[in-house]
Amino acid sequence: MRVQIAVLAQTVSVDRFTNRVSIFNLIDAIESPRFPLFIPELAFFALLRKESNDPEQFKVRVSISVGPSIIGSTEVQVDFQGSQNARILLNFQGLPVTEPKDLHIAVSLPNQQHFASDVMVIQSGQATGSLPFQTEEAKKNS
Amino acid sequence: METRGSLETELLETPAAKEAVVFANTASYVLNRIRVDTSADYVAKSLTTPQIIEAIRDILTQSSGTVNELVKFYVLLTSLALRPDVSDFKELLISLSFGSIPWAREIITLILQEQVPTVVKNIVYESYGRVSNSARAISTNTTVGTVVTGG
Repeated sequence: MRVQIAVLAQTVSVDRFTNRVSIFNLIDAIESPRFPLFIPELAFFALLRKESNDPEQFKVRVSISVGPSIIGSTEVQVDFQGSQNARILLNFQGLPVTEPKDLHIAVSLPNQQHFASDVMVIQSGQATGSLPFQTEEAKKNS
Repeated sequence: METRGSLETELLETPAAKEAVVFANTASYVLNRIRVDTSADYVAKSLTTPQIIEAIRDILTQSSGTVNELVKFYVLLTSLALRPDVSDFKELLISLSFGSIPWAREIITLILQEQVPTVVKNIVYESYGRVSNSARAISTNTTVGTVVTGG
């Protein structure tokens, strides 16, 4: 069993007519001035490839953690249905990122080591300076 | 014959389907043009996969060889691409003999190649309070399984 592709993106869509997958807005890093952060929409996509001696059906556990704390984990039933490839698409409708530590996604395949993917989570500098429409008095008070 | 007879001819032989067959130069051309046409959608919604295969068999055995019959044949064949359970009938489709009808075998191969099983699971976070300890997730998925949160 091999994980051919595993990506985190804003959205992933599967075309109804062609069954082709499109990945939109790939996420390579998450940056925010404040934490915890709530990401409203996130998708995890993985393409699995079956080797000749692999089972046709099995369960895969996908877990997501930020630093040492596990945000969530879920079990997915994969059925290759005679095909060599199978896809997993997890649509997160809200994902909390508790602290500026790497977002770690682990895919546990049967009788194998975990496949893991990390996305960097960065705390950017706080915005400084006054707003352009602030009066001199407001600037003094702030 | 009975299955095919239950379909409305005018919904099957649409101008777009006819045009696709007349101007076709490759198998993928026929497949990509007809599957976005209302004719293929109509067949896929009206008949089950075994019924479509039966209708294809009817044309193969009893066809008069007219252009309209060929259009019907390609519409039926292409409509299989819109059936979610087509991969369950893989062996049956491979065993069909298409004689001298061009691109039929290639269309079937293209349709079966596209059938990569996809597990889609939607994970909704119900509440968001003290996230590290109490975030609760539920699963509204298309497969079996539950989401377990930890902290």
